[in-house]
Amino acid sequence: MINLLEDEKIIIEQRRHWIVVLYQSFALIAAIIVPLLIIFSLSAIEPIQVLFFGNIKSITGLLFILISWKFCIFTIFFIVWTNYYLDVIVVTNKRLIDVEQRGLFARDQTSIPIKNIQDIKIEIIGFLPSLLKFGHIHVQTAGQIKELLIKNLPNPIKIKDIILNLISY
Amino acid sequence: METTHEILTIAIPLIFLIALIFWGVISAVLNHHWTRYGLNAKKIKIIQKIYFGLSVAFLAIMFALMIIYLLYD
Repeated sequence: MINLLEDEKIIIEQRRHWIVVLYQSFALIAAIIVPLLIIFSLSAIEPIQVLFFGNIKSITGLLFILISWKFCIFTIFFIVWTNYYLDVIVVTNKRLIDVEQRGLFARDQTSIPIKNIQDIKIEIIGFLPSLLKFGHIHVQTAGQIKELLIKNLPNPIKIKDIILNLISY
Repeated sequence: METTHEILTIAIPLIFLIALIFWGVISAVLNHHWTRYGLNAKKIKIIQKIYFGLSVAFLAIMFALMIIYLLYD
């Protein structure tokens, strides 16, 4: 929860680009598919077929192990999603708030008054960021935090324009 | 084959118990984060419904399979 100041309004709320969460989920997708492939390939070998598919008890045991594995992956996926969802930048008419969720038990929140922002630089480097329009934003400030780096934001140009408009008011 | 079934007879309830404890702890932590830090209450409610609904479905299937495995001869 972000506590807003008096007369403060949220202008934009932005999370990291979805490709980041997809990238983090690759291992989970592999963890879903690989055991199924292994079972499918091994089921052709006769001793294994008898051991795991010989009767209802064996099939039930195998199914239980598979479902438990899927349940574990399902839970881990929600941990990854929560890290993604709670990692957010919020631009209000008074502040730029960067919330960084580092795992389930660490959280950083940086708040910079709009009037303290001196310059904004955006960085879109590489084929994929150029294609999917995401990149990093460097915010130079006059306060204690000299530079704030916000990584992998979608539409960094739009966010930069919004912040620059707020500064000029 | 009998040895495998003997091991599984002990392992399956144990796995179920571990899964239940793991799920309980993770769910409490996730729910705390969603309700405390989530910005959009409506979206969080939907996520909670999906997460808890599917979790209960998973646990119910696991429980049913465990019972079938233990009772079937």
